Amino acid sequence: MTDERSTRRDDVTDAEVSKTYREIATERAPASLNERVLRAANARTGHGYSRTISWLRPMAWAATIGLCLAIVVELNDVSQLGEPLPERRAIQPASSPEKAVTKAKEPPAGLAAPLAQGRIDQPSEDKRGRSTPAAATLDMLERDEAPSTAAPEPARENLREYVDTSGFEVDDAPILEEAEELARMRDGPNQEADAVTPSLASRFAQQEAAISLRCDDDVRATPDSWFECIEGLEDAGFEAAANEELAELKEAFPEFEIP
Amino acid sequence: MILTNPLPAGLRLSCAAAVSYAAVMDHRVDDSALMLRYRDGDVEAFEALYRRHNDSLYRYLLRLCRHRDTAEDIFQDVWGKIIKSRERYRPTAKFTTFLYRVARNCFIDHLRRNRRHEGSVDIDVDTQMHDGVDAAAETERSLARRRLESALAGLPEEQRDVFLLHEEAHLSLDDIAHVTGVNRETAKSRLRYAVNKLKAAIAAEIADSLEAS
Repeated sequence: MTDERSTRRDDVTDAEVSKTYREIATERAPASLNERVLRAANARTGHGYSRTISWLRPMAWAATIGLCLAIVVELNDVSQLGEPLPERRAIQPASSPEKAVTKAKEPPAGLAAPLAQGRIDQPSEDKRGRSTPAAATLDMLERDEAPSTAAPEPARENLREYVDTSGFEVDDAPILEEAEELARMRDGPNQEADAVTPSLASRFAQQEAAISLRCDDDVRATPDSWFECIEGLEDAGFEAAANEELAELKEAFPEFEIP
Repeated sequence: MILTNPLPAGLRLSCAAAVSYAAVMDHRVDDSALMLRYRDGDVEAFEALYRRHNDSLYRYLLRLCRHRDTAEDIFQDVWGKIIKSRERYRPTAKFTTFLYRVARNCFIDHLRRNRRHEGSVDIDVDTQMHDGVDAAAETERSLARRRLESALAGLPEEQRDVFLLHEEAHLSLDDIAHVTGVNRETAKSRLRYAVNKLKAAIAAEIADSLEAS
């Protein structure tokens, strides 16, 4: 009632102008626009989902299950590779260096001739290394620092000399690859962790910085306090964060007029 | 089709009854209530709300921008924002005020981004004759309409905005002041200037036709 009275008192309109305007203002929103808006409204509430793309949901489930299975299989493989190696033969330390050398130069019974030949050829030091699976395994054994299983130093040296087979060709390349892979897996984690830790640390630091550059939820409750916070960010020189916040503010409070 | 809200629990309607109920609901339920129902996932409520305001908002933007493509872009943008912000919607003011405030902000954002609408007027004034009306009178009305359209396009932006909010959204002076972010007296003054100029434009047309006859 009060509104009506005040409207009448402040009536600044003109009937003729209104009537003429009504005659010209006959446009209607195009049907295509209506359809687009209503579709958007429908999509936002998820009603149109099952109708239009009903196959997507089962497809997504199937893909998720498949992915999970693949991960489980992969993890199983990894755990098999990571199982402890068969126990090494205990190598008795030689009582004296001479004995050790002699003992080392004698091939054990049942060793194949080429292996023995390889030992006799005595390849140069630079040819040694992981050229054979046995050498790779030896390297791996050397890196293992468990005191209960580690062989005494002289015996290990002897073993290396004895097992060094770089003088003959190995036909079974996959074995070599597998041994190398095994060695990598045994040594890898720490190296990777060392490499990853600094990058992770810097990423955490960046995230922390980003979090501190955002306005709190309490501040975001009203557009005015949110805008004040954005101004604070701008004043502090955080232009990018301020712009990001401003975009979010516009989305959350579209009716708020940015001064 | 089953309507559960606000009907009593367990009451089911046939399709025809539901349609007639929806028609009644369309006129009785408050805009804000419809918006709140849409917030809770009722898409039909949004459709009812949209049908109430789509044409008037479209005309408002069309005459504010004076460029059809721009108006359509902004129109979509406005409704997109309304849809997105439904979670945060609180019926603190009239929905119409909220809607036109969003529309105005979108228009201002558009102005800030680019100014392609400037100087481009592509709105066709309906000059077709209406059936069963005297040809001379119709010509006169047609001229008046054309004159008004031209005068409206020539108004300063603030005055045109206020006039359109008054005519299309049927907002009161207080609401216009709220939407445009000025005080009530400023809004009133702008509206008066706008109406007087438009009135003068129509009157000049009538005087011209009288002189000619």
